[in-house]
Amino acid sequence: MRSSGINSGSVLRRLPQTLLLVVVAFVVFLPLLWMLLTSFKETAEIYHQPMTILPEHPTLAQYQGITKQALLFPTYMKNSFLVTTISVLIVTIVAILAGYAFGRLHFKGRDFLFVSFLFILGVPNVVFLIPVYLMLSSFKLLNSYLGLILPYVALNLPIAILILRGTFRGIPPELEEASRIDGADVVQTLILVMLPLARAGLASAIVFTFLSIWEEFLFAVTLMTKAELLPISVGINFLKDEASSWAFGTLSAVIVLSVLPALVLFVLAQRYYVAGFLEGALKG
Amino acid sequence: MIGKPVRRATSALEKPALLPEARRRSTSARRRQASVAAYLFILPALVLYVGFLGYPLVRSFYLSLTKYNFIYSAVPAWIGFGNYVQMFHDSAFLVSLLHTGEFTLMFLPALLVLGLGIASLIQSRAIGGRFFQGVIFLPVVVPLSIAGVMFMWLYSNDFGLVNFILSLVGLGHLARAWLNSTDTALPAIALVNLWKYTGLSAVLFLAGLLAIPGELYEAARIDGAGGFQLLTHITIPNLRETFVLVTIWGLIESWKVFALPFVMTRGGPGDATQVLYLFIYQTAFKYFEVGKAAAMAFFLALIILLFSLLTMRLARTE
Repeated sequence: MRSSGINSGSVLRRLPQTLLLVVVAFVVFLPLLWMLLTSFKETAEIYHQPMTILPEHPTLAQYQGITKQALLFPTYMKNSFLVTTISVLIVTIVAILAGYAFGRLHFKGRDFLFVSFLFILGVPNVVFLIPVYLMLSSFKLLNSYLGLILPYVALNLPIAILILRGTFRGIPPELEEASRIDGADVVQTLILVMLPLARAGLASAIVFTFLSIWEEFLFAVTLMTKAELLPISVGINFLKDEASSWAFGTLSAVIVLSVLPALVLFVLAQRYYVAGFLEGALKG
Repeated sequence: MIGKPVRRATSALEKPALLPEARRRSTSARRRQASVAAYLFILPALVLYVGFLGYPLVRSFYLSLTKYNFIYSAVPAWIGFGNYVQMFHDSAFLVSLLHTGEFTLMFLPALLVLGLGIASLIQSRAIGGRFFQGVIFLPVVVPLSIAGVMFMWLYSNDFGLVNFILSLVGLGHLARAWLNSTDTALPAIALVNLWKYTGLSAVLFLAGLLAIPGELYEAARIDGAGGFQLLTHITIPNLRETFVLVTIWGLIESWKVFALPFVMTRGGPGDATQVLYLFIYQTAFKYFEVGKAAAMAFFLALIILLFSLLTMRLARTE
């Protein structure tokens, strides 16, 4: 491409919009970059005027400080991973079964049931929260992992079902019929024939559900009141309150570490997230 | 699912082709089996749906028709639509409604303009477009509450990045504690929301732009249309669906803004960032006025429904 004279001209013509795009991308990335830079500065440098951009003496002191000043941070992360992973696992299994049934099987009341699942998507979560709180309170399930996982599973099921139903419908029926004629029953057909073909939709549903539960705030802040049970999305709030009395440096290290898992997942699976969003969140 | 015993491991080789009659019989048997299987497959989803979404929805509506304080009332007392009437006499509710509307006006137009602008840049064959699209999309995976904490630091008076940049470009006199002033707190929060979701809007617009056939532009250019006319006569009309999509979605997000003011300002300073969702939450879980909160939550659901229908209707008649 470089060798062609016509293209070098076109590269030149593409320069203005490229520069503009670089500026926009930089501005968007700046807050994250600033956190990263701050987390490598010494505490004195963070609170120094005039401010510096690059760390003068790069140090890991802020990350080490977490073990002294943000004692609950590892607990928050553990809670987040635990609740998110279990919820996603349950959502995935339940949504595969339901998505397959809605997409591929015939039964009475199918369309009515499916529409009632979708109807829920337009309702703000706070509507469900109040009765769920009262219910969990009477079952003594407030401040328990189960009490958070169950509502999370329910809230994320409709979109996961919607995505998987669409995926299953997109698979040519001949493959399924061939499997049935070979004598496989419904379960075998689903697991051995359909699931491998539904990989992309499955990935979208999993990535989308994971990120949505990872960042959930409303239910977590209401249903969990004991500090040692909080996920990071809520726990960070407590660390912030402490930050007014101690160095912001530790908090910047905490922020970098808590953003990291979702960022890694996103970089690995960006297209699945976008697909999941287009398929699920918008159509719903 | 896994635990179900595998009945028979057959393959096409072991099974001779069936006679038509036998096949028909087995087909209807299979259909019955499939129908039973379908109900079993739906069951787990249905139980969770009814238990944690369906029942709470009905219960919430019932509570919205009662006077019920979770701490002080023994049982909910039926008052019909009283809560729905009373909330419009509650100035705190009206203020939160106003702020939510203002938030929408700060967030939504910018979301549309920036989304379309960035999408056009990427589509205009900027070098590395895919890469930069990824970077701009990145904030979408940063949890809102964490973004909130992060921006509190950026907005802070003495050591914040925003004021630092202002002083670098010679606008130091504009520096202030952005979240502590009633004028700037709400826009500052709207900006965080925008930071998180602009990339998403851009991706949606890009998908819309790529779906417009190139011949339309060529034909218009032959007719002598300039860049601006291309934008107003071809690009925007053909993006109607995308506009509707992003508008509905942006409206819903605006009316559900909660974690940001919760983390960053707790509705303050004064009531400058008191928005509807936060007010509903506080009514239910700070003052335990469950009936009142449920009524406001249903009012919110109604608004979201109306906005969605209205936007779709406008798009169709235009």
